[in-house]
Amino acid sequence: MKICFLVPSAFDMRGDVRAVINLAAELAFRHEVEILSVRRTREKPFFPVPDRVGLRWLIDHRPGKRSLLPRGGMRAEVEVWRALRALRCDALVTTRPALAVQAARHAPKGVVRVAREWTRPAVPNPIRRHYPRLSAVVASTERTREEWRRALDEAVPVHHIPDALPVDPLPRSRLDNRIVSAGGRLVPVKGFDRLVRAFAIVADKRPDWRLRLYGGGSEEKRLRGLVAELGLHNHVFFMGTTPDLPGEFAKASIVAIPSLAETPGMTVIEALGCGVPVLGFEGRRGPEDFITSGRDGVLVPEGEGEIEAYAAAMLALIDDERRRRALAAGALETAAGYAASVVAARWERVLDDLCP
Amino acid sequence: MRVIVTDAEVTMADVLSLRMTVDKPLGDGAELVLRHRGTGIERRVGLEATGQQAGAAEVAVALERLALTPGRWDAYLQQGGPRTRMTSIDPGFSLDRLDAYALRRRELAYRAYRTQTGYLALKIDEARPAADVRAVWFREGRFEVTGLLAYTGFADDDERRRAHMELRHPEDPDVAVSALATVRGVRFHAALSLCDVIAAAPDFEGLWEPLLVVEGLDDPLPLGARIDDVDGRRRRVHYPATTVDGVRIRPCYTADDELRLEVGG
Repeated sequence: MKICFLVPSAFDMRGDVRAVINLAAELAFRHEVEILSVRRTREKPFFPVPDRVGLRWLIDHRPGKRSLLPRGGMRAEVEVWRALRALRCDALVTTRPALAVQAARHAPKGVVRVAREWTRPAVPNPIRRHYPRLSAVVASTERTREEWRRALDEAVPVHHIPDALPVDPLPRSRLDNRIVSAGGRLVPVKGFDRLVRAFAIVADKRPDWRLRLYGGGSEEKRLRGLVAELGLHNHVFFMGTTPDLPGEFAKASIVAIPSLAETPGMTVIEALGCGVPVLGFEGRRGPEDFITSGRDGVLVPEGEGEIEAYAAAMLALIDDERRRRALAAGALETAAGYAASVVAARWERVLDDLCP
Repeated sequence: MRVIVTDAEVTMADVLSLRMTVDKPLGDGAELVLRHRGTGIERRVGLEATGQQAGAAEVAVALERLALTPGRWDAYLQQGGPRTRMTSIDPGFSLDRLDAYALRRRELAYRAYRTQTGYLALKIDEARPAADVRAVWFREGRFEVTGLLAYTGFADDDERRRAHMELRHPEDPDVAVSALATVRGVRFHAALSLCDVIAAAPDFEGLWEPLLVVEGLDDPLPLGARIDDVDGRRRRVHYPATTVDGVRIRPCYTADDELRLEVGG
């Protein structure tokens, strides 16, 4: 089978990009797989794409590259339309509602068109109008599947398949470093300010523990200011971006996920895959979709006093190594469900059923 | 041949100890090949597997005998056919082990680690006695620093040693500010009055170099932060600045992770 993944950019540092590359890398052992990136934003993809996976792009947005054509959305739409008209594959998987609408309208009729969705349906009208022309929608969590099922009113089959961990074996934490790690884009929705405030309470009681923040983004300057304001300059390290987040998580004893909304949740499942307990907040779009509190991590209720509760939960984990190890074992069991081979097999079943 | 290193450690005696899963048992001709990144120089050593069970093997390699030079060395396993790069799932990093490893006097410091692409490699650095910084503060008009002495050969006990911290200007080493420091075993703490720094440096704006002078050691110890896996502290750690008599003072790191005190500017 020839499978094509249509993504906005395969070159960026985002969880959904990582998820698509992991899945494509596993499927490519048995199928011809290509990632079609609408934009090329840098010289090499931030997350390496294995040689067995084909990679093409439509618009060159590398810094310094000049084009006579305008850079806006209209050009992207035209390029996607041209690419879709010329597409030769058995199955097309889109990774954004805007791309799924384009695929529904313009992809050749013989191609199985599947929309991969990580978030709830945000624009109901175009979705109701165009999604019925798709072959299927595949949601990343049970909650998202229910939302899409309600939005589409049974017009299209909606499946649930989680994201995949990398094909290569993940590093395994020894849980012996006094390090709490957190990773992701430093943007408001990730809630890193809540984590820094909670860590101020932890550092006061356990001064030999350190917090490492991986990633970059618009919030970095504000977070550095918060660290200075709270006097945490010896305790909080801004580690920058890394293409090997699991390698860094495996050096930690706890991974903190303070997000208000954790989509697609790759950091959570990578932490589980490294055998590190996850500490997060309860909440509709937080890590609750991936974590069972007390089994593979700890979830703290949001609301009044949440910072203190989060700090207390972190201190409880820091002080109880046996519990940390028990949660780490649970994390590895949970992560088995996200193994690339398991997830790819579920995709193959869905695509096999849809392909004529 | 498929090999996954599950545990990799350089012991105190500079022996590389590996536990791994293999799809074929290690035979007589099995070799560990270390390849220097950059120059391509290779070192080969025959492996004698101990404790071989089905699909698992343990090996130990004395690194001192291999005459490895500083830099990064990628690890391969060769047995019969073509060499196989060794995949590793050991994060290769334990803060406590690194601290314990730095107790002995050494000329070279070896560390086994997992590369960003998931393979086993060795990192070799030149090692000389140094003061490894763990925390820095401005408190009550003083610059305070605390940490561990590395590669000094001192025991991690409670023995006190006389010590003082000096702050030297790189353009004129005769201009120095000095203050008593506390050394117990391998732990140190030093505090320097910022007023003294300003008084000694009315014309010496720039980067001042702190050094720890410890009884029993020939040379003053540079203050830096190298006994962990964090490279490039200059970007990752931003210390807050303070202002004394209108002069801004801020601790910072150099590109090679040595501590400096930036006065003025």
